Amino acid sequence: MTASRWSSTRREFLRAVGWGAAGTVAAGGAGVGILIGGRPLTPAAAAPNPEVKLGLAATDGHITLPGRPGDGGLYIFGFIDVPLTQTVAQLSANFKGKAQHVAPILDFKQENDIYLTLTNLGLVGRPDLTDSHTIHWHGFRTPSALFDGVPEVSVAVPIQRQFTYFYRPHNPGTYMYHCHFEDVEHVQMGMTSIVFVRPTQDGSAALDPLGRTTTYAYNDGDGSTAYDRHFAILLNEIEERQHDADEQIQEFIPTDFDPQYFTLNGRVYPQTVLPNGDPALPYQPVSALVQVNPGDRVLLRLANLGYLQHSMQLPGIALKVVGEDAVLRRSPSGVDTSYLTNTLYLGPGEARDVLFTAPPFNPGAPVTTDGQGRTYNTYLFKNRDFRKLSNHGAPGLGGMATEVRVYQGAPLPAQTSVGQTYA
Amino acid sequence: MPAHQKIRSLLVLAVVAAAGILVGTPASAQPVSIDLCVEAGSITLPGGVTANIWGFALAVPDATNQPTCAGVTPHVPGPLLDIAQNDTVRIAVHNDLAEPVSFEAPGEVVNEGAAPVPAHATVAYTFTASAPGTYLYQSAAAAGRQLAMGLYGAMIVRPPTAGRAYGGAGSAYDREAPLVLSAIDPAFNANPGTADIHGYHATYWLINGKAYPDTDPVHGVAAGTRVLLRYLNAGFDNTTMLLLGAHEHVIARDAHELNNPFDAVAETVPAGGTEDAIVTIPAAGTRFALYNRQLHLTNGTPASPNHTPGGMLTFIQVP
Amino acid sequence: MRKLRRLGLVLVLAAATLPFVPAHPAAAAPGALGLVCTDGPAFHLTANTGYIETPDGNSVFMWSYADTGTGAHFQSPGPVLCVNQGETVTVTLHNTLPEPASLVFPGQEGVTATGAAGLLATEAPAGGDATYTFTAGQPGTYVYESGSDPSRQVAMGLYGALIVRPAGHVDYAYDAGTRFSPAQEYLILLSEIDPDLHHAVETGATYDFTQLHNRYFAVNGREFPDTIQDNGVSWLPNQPYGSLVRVKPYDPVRNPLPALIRMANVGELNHPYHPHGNHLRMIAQDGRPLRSPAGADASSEHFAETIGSGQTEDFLFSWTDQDSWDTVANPFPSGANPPSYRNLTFKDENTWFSGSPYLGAKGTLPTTVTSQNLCGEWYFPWHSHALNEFSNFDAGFGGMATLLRVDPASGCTGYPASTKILAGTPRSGAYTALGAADTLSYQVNSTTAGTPAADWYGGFAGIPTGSTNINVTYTGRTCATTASGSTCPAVAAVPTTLSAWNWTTGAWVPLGAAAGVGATDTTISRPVPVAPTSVIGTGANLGQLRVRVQAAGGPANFVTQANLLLITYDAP
Repeated sequence: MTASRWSSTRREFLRAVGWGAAGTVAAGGAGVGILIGGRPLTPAAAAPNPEVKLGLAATDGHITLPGRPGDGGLYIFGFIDVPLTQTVAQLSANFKGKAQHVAPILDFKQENDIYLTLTNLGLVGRPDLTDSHTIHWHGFRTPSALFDGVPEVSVAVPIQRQFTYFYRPHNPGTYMYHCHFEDVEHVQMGMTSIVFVRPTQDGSAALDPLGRTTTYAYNDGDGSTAYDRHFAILLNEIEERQHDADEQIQEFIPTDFDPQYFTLNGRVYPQTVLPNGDPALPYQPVSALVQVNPGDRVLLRLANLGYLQHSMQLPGIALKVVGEDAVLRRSPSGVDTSYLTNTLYLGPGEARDVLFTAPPFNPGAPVTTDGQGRTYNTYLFKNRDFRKLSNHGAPGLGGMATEVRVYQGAPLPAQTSVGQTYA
Repeated sequence: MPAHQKIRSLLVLAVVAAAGILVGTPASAQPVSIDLCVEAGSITLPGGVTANIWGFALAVPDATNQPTCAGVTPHVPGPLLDIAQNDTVRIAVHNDLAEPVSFEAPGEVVNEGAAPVPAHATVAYTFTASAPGTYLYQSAAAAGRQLAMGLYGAMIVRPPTAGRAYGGAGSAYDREAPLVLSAIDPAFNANPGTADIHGYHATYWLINGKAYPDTDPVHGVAAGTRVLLRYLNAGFDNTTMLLLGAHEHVIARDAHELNNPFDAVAETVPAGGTEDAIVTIPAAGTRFALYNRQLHLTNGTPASPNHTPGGMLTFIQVP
Repeated sequence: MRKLRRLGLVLVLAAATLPFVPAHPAAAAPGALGLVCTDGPAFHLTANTGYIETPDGNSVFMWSYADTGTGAHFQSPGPVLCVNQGETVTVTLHNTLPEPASLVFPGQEGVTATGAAGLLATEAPAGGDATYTFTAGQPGTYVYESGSDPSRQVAMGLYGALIVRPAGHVDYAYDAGTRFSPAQEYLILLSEIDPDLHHAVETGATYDFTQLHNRYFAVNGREFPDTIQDNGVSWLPNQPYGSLVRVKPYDPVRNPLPALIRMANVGELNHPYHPHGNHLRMIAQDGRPLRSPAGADASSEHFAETIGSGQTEDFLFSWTDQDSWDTVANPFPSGANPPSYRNLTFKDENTWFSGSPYLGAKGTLPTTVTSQNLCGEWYFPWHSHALNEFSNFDAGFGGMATLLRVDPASGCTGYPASTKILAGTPRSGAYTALGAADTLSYQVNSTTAGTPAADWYGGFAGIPTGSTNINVTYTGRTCATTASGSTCPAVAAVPTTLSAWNWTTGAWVPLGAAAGVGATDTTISRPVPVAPTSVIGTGANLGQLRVRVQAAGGPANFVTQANLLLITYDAP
């Protein structure tokens, strides 16, 4: 046996050949009926796929929540994006204890080869705790259990070690990722975010019926999912007793779950409307603010990694659900299964791609003027369950709410990144 | 205020549910004006238990035929607003509470947006009821605490063709039953301004403001009757209603007709959502139970009167 | 997870998973996996009490429906009632509970009953009976449950599944458009338990239903990891239904039909169910297919689906291998070369992972790790993503979860681990040359006295007890003795016979008639014609299987060049 336990022995190699001879049969071919068969297999790319390499580190940290006076922030586990050029020792020196929540939102393209290197930096606040971590790309149609990130059925990454996950996404849409190690605990502790995949249709100007964008939610073939701006927003909850228990080396019983905070991108209202990277929230850098020009076609990429079902409303603006769980709402026989709604019902682990058209600026409705002299109407995007519009039960609007700001004129330049804010 | 504004028929919900009154009114260029009062009051729950509520009520004409809120009684849910498609609607909200309220119908584009009604003030909201369907209206102020108190109601926008919920023939019905689903925590309602809402704990589960055995069955159907169930979930909980003895044909959600209607026995209506489903009464059976499948079928605590059976339970029945 | 906690978890997991594979003594009896029907249309149920066991060692008092016909042995959930559309179904309920109980059949029309009048349903009084009659309605998945004080009785466990099949089509969920593989029909019935409620009912104490606080979350009445045990295992005597889902990759020729996943939620909470690995295609709700107004397919795919309380949803499921990664034909890009396992952990030193990134291959795991993997199959969790429900009270990776098992497309594949020559002499090569149809071969010279014969066997090891569908594939050729390198001088074709060693009788079992093998590679593929148990060794020969290749015929001496010898089988 070689030093590396990975190295294929002759016998492993031979076994794989035996399987491969059979496995290669499974390509192409039509099912008997669309409901009956599996989905068509994506042919292999003719040319090598573009490679995308990213680094994420897992560690701990603290975030800020209202209603917890006097503490040093809420203890979390989380991910943070890190350069691939640094050694593990350098990463530890630079990033240990600096987790962010939500974790970085990942923006990938269909048919790219994605290498996501996870480094487990360990925990500053719990040096006694030696938990491993993983990345589970939630919803990915994974062809190998190795990269599914479930420690019981593949591998986990111990402290000071690295592992590179490999993905070749064939299906555009909105997904999630999270740690699956002790996931009942680690997901609640904050190791959660959104990952989305842009379709290969992107770049086509001809498909957009308005002829002004080249971005689409899906390979719709008809431009029906064209959007001018997009926002990725993760719904979540925080049960502070889990976090405090972890910080204080205590037990928390997961079935006691009864959260006090309800978050969008790791923030509660009014934090949610602060811009990206706001200095008041150093470890909650991702805003949930939706700033749009009138007439913009807006794509909301929504996902829920809390443990509760949420009912979200945007009163006054109709929402069209064009995708669910990273699938275009269109049946195999071509039936349009998209739907208009005012109430997005989103269970844990589910994702929605939602389009709306920003209404005209309405001078007759309440108007706000910001520090740049821009004027806007505000629409609240909020949870319909009043228990989730509070921070720790206190009066006043808090919790799972953010604002859609529709500006007068068209002062906002085009987005250069998902969820871009304009302070 | 103009003296000759058209006062549309505004009915207490239970009456509609029981009698199935149909009001088909052609659209009018003249604004339909509705005066809603926001009042503090109380609700009587099974066994005579009472709880504080805040509710909407219809204003009444005073001696000079001007709307007044003097002496009106608030209800949970508020009055059913019955609107014709393409009506221009003006809703004046008279707030008799000591805190701001608002008027919000999530599926309607209200010209005044989310403007609040200050305490003891009146604000008029206007919108065009451009699409038919089942809408919830509510006060969105105070971070939803006013929803816990009961400030919500049903609004029906009717298409030009009488006897249809929407434009399509598939929405034709013979009887309708608005079903406003909600819940009450009497302890919270005793102290809505400052109570810790994390400790909110509903103990009464209501259909049209009533818990079983006080709920009003839908009487008088016969085999073949198409009963339109207009679910409006005004509560905080995503609520699954179970129908025994028949399937319901779900034709719309949130006042949007479905591209692909489907049949259901147990349907979840999310908090704040509405859903329209048509039950064609089968040839067999005379009594069809409709109840909360989260099994909120008790009233109060075990010490409360009429503790069980109770809660969110009613019937559709032939006689 | 805190260290103290983890220690406890190791013990629990080890104990719970121990019986999973190699220690599992039972053969893959029919019905070990998948839906277990109690066939109608006449049923006799008894409402009674009993206990279920939870993986953390708890025991919970339950109410349920038992099959009166099998002695009313307590089981949770109640029997899966299977009927055909249009049949007249009668269900007689005998109630041994201390209060009136009943049955309702949501989704069925025209249920008539004899018994005592109740609020929602005709009831069987305590100690009494009621009988329910209806005509089985449209095909689909339904539930039955108590209509008496449901917030108490349903929570106590009075529920079960009702399956209505289209008459004459066990392979249709609804119609030809929803055809599935009948061997892959699964029930996933979701429920919850608040042990305080159950204790209160057991002891006659008052319980406030508004304080309901569930601690256990079940699939088919079991909590993970008990959920992945076979149906009817002896150590879960009152919880007969497992929920391990087992499929092979979608293949348009060999495996075109999907599995059918019938999901039903009899709990009082809505549950978000998350399948790892591939999406589920939702085709129906509450026993009605999802179709457009014109009748076209209006199904949709989901990687998580919240199923409402009291709802049923049907899903078709095919696991599609998106990339068909293969060490030779389609290897992972070099950048995806996995690192050394020295740098990784295997949780609790116990894994279902094969050690290889390739389906159907087994890698080498650290010696300290216990592997539950048989032959390179994949496992993916399917679980509630309300992760507080992915727990057994206070321990994660439990509760409302099961596993998806994806077997290699051709089943498991075995290669010789040894060879032995019975007649003839070794020429070149070793057993390792038999692993692939390549340029390497295992070569045996024929005997030179009498009729020339080259007679040898390949020994296979590690074949799990209970394996089935054993097939043997041999590829080889016969060359003149002047063969050298890759040349194979022609000789007359030599009759070649395959056989397998029968450990029970101590004799070779021919695998069909002899086939002539000449100077070009010839493949012989044959099933083992006797019971698999007789050719897989036990005791000192545990897991051993021998395949004999016997080439015999004149006139000239010859060389057997064996290129490939493999077996495929379905592991238990």
